[in-house]
Amino acid sequence: MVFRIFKCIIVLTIVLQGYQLKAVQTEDFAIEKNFSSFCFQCHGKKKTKGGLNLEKLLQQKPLIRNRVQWNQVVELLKSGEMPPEEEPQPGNEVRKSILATLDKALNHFDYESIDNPGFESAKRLTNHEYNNTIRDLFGVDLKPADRFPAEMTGASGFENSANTLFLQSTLMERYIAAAERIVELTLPKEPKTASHFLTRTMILIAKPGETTTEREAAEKTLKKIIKRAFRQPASDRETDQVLELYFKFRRRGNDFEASVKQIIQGLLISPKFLFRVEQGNPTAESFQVSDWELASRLSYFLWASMPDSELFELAEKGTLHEPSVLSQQTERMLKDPKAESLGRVFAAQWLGFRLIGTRIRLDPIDNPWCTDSLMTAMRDESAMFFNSLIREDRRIANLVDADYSFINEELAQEIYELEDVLGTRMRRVTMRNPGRGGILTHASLMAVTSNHKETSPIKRGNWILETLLGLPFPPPPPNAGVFKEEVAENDSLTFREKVELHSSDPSCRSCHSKIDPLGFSLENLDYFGRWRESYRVRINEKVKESPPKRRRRYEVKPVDANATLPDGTPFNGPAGLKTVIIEKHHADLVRQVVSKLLAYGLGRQLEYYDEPAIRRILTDLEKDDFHFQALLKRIVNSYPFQYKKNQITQSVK
Amino acid sequence: MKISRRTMLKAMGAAIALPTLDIMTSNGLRASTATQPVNRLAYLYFPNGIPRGIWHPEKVGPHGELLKLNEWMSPLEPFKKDILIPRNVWTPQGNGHGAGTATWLTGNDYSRRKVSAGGISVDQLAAEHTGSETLLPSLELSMKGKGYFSNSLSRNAISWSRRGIPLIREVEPRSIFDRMFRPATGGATDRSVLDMVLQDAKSLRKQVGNADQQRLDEYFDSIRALEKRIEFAEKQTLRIKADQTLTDSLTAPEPGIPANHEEYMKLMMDMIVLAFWSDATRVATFMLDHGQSNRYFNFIPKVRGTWHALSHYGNASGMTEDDDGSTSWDSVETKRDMYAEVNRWHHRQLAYLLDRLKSISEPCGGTLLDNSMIVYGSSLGDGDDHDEKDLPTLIAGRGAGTIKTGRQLNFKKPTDLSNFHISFLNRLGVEIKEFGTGDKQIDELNG
Repeated sequence: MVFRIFKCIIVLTIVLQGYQLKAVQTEDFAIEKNFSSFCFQCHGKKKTKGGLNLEKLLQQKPLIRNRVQWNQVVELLKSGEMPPEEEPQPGNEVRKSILATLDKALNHFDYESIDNPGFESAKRLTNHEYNNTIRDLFGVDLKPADRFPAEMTGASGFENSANTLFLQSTLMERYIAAAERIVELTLPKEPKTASHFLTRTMILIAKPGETTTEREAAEKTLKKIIKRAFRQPASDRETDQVLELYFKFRRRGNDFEASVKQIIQGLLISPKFLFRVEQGNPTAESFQVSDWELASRLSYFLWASMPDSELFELAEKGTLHEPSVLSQQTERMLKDPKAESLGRVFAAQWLGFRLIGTRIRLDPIDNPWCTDSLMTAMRDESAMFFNSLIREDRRIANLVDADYSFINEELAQEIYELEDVLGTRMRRVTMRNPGRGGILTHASLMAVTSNHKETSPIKRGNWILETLLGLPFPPPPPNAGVFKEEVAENDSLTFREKVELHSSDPSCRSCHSKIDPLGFSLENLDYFGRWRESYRVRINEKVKESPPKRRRRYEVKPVDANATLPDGTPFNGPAGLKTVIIEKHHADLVRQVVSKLLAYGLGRQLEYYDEPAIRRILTDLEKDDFHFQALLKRIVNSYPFQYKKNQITQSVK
Repeated sequence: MKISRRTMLKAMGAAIALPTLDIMTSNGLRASTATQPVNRLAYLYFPNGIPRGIWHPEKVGPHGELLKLNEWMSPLEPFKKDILIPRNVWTPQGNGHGAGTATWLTGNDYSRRKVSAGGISVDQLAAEHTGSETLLPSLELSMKGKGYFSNSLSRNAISWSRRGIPLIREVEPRSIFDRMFRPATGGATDRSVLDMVLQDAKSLRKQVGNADQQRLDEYFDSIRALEKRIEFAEKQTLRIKADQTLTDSLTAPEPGIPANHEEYMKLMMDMIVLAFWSDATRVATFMLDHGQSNRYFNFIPKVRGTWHALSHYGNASGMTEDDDGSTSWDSVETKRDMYAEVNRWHHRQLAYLLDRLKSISEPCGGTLLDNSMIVYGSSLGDGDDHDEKDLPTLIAGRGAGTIKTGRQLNFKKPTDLSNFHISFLNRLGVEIKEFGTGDKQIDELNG
């Protein structure tokens, strides 16, 4: 009976799917035909202007897969900017019908029809995670990975993204050298320092003696370190294997300690340590990860390190996945200083202030005042600020409109012009200038979004839209960034005026009318975030001599930080910008914070099938009044964070 | 010609002391005892292209013989008989700083989303073939990046494995040296320990999903490479012990990265020489900078601004988004000259490498340079035109007697770089007819 009902449902589903498929196909056909007549010529197989190949994009179904690119297409179609004036134009009706089809596919897609928590392939520990894990395993912060090859980042923007974490012999060599060195340094034959003794109590937990046989002592010691290093309890087979190895080393004449130490060196190069591997599942269904795996997901998300004993205990009990336990653990973990990795790793990579020191660098000739300690303080300011938002459970909007920051004397002197901050310690300071406070005004980000010694309103505007608010633009046309000659050569114009003229060019306007005002309003902050009311404008003059020469001179002009949004809303300066972002873009900001944290938490770039989880978090978050800790709890309780689905892949040759 | 120990030391730079050994009569540290000369392949990548024309020789003979090089190429004048300069080379799939760099050696298209350069790169294909005879299949070296894009994957990856993985590039001379000569320590490299971790990997492989298995295969590969390295090091230790003349042991360069850019680059080149000479590998790639280097070359007299900014010499205002905001130039000509000057500086470094290779004699005759194919090139033609046409591509060395050097090859039609890759692969014994967008050999290399 049950079987028959089942069968009916299956048949019905197939029929319904068939029906849907047919409807979709008809629409597809119409849209493909329209695109082919008006767009493929420049954006198809033959030419991919602006890097856009609509022919290829149309084949990737559902269209929602490439939501970002399609939204850009919609924008350009809506504004009438595409197809370009000189090309054949679709009539109004056709344009409308294309837009309607896209609207349906993009904005009314039935997300509930997807059940895919996504798949994370085994992830090698990032250099950050490796350092932290070693610190927590041995109780000493050795940072061995600082000399490993630098991590590269791909599309997700985070180093912990599985698709860029490869393992190669080059790196393996480093792991081996590190494993040997770590054990030598932390467990020397004759312990001398306090940290030597601490590591011994953590690792050498048993000794052969009167009440303990050698086998028992070795087993106890090795099982404990395996559990902590592999983040899973040792299986019987693993235990047998290491004990066998232990006695092999003993037969060679090594003592108890030396044998255990050599095994630990081996554990540190085992794939079970170097990778965060999760059990597979032979079915195509989604399944919940084990509590041990969840413990690792949680600790690498919130701490960028291994789980601690409390998480291990809950995993052992099997209660970690219960929502109340998980929320309580999240709260506990966020109080731990290890959670600072959210500011130092996550926020630094998302917002880009990790580039201070590499991209913005010490230049003793040009910026003698820009010292290593100042750059460290700049990075610390942003990291500490981000961490305070989480620790104090503030609202997401406070990221932009907070009235405090963390500074020390050097920052106060060089950047913020504050008198009463003394000493190297970073401390919390209330910012009285409404144009200060909030991530948008941080020295670090003002530097990262500037050119070498000059602000770039375009870079800043673009950073706000793309990085902070998650509203990317199509890439600029190939000749972008170059002023037309008559603009470039007109020396009576300020840079702002030139940008404005440049942006009035119709092919530039649609993006620049959004980018520029945001950047202009930050002109009060110079290329290192120092406040200014006026700036020097460089003027190149042609001198009538023979041969003709150019001479440079500088003129002081007042800063014009007035700006107008495309909808006509005027605003002024950093303070005005903050208000505009909170009033007009709060939803974008929240969505971006959610997406970025989720991508970092999952260790992969987000896909269209993550949209249901994002929407659910967003809806719930409104009830939580957009507080950070609530958000983190929502993420760890979310479907993709707790579940996974095996990817069906063809095996690689 | 015998090489004195002093010459050898000089050749290797002061930081490394090589063993005293007569490399004419003894096979030295060589793993192979081939009676035929072996052939090697190295690709040296430089970013940002060149001002078009600065590679055109000043005087050529009736058959394209290089009689006098352009002033910007003057550091290579002593090697004009050892080099070949093809003109009109291109990559049909396009160019650029990101995609162009990533696909320079794959001849394919780049996908950012998939992190894929469209297939295996030519050096890795070569390494698969020659790798069984040497310690390391190949060496991937880079100058440590500075500034923007230092962490951009596509701008830092020219070598791609068969699995489609961009290979990690070594930036520290010492770690390259260690990969060739560091003996096994007996800790984590103990045979029983390695057996244990391999057991771990095998048991994991059974438990995980399909896609994870690939990650574990990467692990197996890296352990296998490690085992090979240990074996090689042991063999060498035995050789050194057996050879009475080997009184000195190999001394490694200091850990870390030299602050002086030129010293650093020379040390990296020494590592290539050392690797080729000891037959630790026959395939190497070296990125002289990442694909969009904006390094300052202010240490060259009269040069101002970043390399990438200089390459866009057409606008000297200092006001484009490529500029640093503080440097501008009097004229397009001044800017272009500075750009060319940066290129000339790199030609000088290339000359250093060629000089080293040429000063070492091979057991089967000829010099190390004669038995190598050193390709020096960029994925951009002219930096300001930003095009994939007329890519600067220079070949040095006679490929073990298979390349007739000392000429300019002036191709009438755009000639696919992939066809050069095919020609080099064939010369290493890789029988291949198609690669990337290419489908034939360049017959003109033979002369």
